Amino acid sequence: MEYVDNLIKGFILVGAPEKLIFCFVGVFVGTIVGVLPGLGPVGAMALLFPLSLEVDPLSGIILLAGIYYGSMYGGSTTSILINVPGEATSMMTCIDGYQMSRKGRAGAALAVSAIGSLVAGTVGVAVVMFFAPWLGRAALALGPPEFFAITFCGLVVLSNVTGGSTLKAFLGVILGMMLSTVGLDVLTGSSRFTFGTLELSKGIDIVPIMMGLFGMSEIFSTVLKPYSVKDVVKVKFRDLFPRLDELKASVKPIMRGTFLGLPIGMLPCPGAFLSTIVSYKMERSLSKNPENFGKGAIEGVAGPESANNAASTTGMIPLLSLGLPFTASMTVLLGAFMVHGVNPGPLFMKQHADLYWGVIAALYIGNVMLLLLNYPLVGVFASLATVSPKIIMPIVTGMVFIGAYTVNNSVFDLWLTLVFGLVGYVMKEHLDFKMPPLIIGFILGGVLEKSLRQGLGMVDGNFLVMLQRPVTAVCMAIAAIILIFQILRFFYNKSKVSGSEGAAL
Amino acid sequence: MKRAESISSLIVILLCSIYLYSAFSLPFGTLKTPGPGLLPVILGCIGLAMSLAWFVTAFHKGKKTDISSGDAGEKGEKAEKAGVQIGKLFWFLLAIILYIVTFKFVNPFVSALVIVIVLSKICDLEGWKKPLLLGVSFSVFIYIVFVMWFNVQF
Repeated sequence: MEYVDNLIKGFILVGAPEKLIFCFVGVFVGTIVGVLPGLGPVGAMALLFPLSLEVDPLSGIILLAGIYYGSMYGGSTTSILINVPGEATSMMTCIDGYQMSRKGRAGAALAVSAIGSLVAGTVGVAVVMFFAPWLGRAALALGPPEFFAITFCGLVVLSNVTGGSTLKAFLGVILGMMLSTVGLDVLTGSSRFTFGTLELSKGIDIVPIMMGLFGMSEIFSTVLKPYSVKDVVKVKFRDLFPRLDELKASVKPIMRGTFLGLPIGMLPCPGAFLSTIVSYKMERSLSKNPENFGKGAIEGVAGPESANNAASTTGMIPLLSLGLPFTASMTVLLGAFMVHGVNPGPLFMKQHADLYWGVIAALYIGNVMLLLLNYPLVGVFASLATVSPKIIMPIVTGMVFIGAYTVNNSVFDLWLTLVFGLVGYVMKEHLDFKMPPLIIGFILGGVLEKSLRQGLGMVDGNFLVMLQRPVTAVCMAIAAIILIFQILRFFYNKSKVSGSEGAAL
Repeated sequence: MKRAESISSLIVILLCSIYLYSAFSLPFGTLKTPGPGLLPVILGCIGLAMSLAWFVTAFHKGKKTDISSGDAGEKGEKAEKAGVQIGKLFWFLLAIILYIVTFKFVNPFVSALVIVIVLSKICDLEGWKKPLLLGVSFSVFIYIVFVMWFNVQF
């Protein structure tokens, strides 16, 4: 009953016209972003980050969260209509979704995708609603030593969630943490790495970093390699309804996809992306007609889309209950919480109950809005994919810099955005560096330092006493095992490469 | 790409060295009362070690010879195309730098209009009507959203 009462309060909060407008704007922008190749949800969230700062915390979070799950809907539209996944998570939908549209069943594919997303998103929000508070209450028993260990373990695990070179991922985390130490020390107030400049004494804001690394780097990449726009399959409104047999065939894949995506989304990995691949493989292996997959099997659309939305939603649980972002999008959301003076984590639900239940209610409302928005306007959104990057890139560039300026009214932030944009571009295109580890290190670095120093103070400087606490010991052990495994794997791969080169000679 | 990695790793080594040098000037404190220099020193040491490892890895990879493929004509065409795109990026960057330099001296709506027009021409948007329309729409959007709605002072 307590949950129901709190949820009703959340709906009352979000039911205000202003909040509904922000929810609508968020899902609308998210859908557009999902449709457009190039600019992903993280880039769009970074772009609208400064806007979210101008409003109250609930409106700002609703806006950014709307972009996040709205982009999941939008990505599937272009996958089905033009065989171009707007987002990486919509990649599997291309396989059978586009084949369905070529057979004249684009409407059915879009309908099933939308319905599956609604069901999975709604179930996902229910799981967040019940599971996050439980996890948060369990985390209340934790102190600074535990938070240090959890954050350290999280950094080790998260540093390689996006794949790629382990050394570069860890280096990215370290560089991010170094950036977080610039400015005034939070515990003593002394200046660090400011080099006598006033701008650096305020510390480096997360907004220019995010807008530069995610927004500007993408713009530079697109200027160098513009994507080509394709013709769109036209879908009439009357074609949007699936047949009864198609609906029947979709029910079980939607259920399976939902319950598959729910736990994967809570893991420290690109859960939404992985869940779509696992779901597709599962549907094909369970199907009585696996030969239909790849030729327009509706199960190949229903399952992955549901898994994607379920995982995207439950990805918020570690953020809300532990304050740990497991994906780049969650990192942006964490940044949004923090600049509003709200720290997600175990005390979040106790100290900011209104905000928590408001966000939950907004997730429910947003899912319904997405269905109502996407279904009739699918042709309009799909045509956005035909807009040339020559038009989009200048507008997005202007938005980036105006947005970066509005945070602190500082031209220094514009320079930072440009510098990080160049750094991000070089990292992505020439060095095979992933950006999320750097951002994760930047955001969690402050938390790690504070909890380490407070924890050492609690145990009179005896680090071994810290390790005697069960949660600390377990987390540090997990981190140590992962580190040792990564080091061993690095040397094993190196010896394998040397061995094959020797054999070739 | 390997040369880019070697150069980048050298830059990171330099940055980590400067960071570590600055970190040593901060009070380290004791383990009972850790000072503001504790984590920076640890980070600087780890960062320096990792960037050295990266340099060694990149240098080692760069020593291996690349086997080039494709005929000379095809490579020449690709190189010419890459040169054009890099030229475009250069002008794009220059336009942004000038925009930032003049940001405080020029009316923000005028500078927004100009930058959008300039960038759209750099991106090869045909004609002048579309860039002008884009620029004007963007300036109006900025005014409505940021000045009228959010009361941002430029």
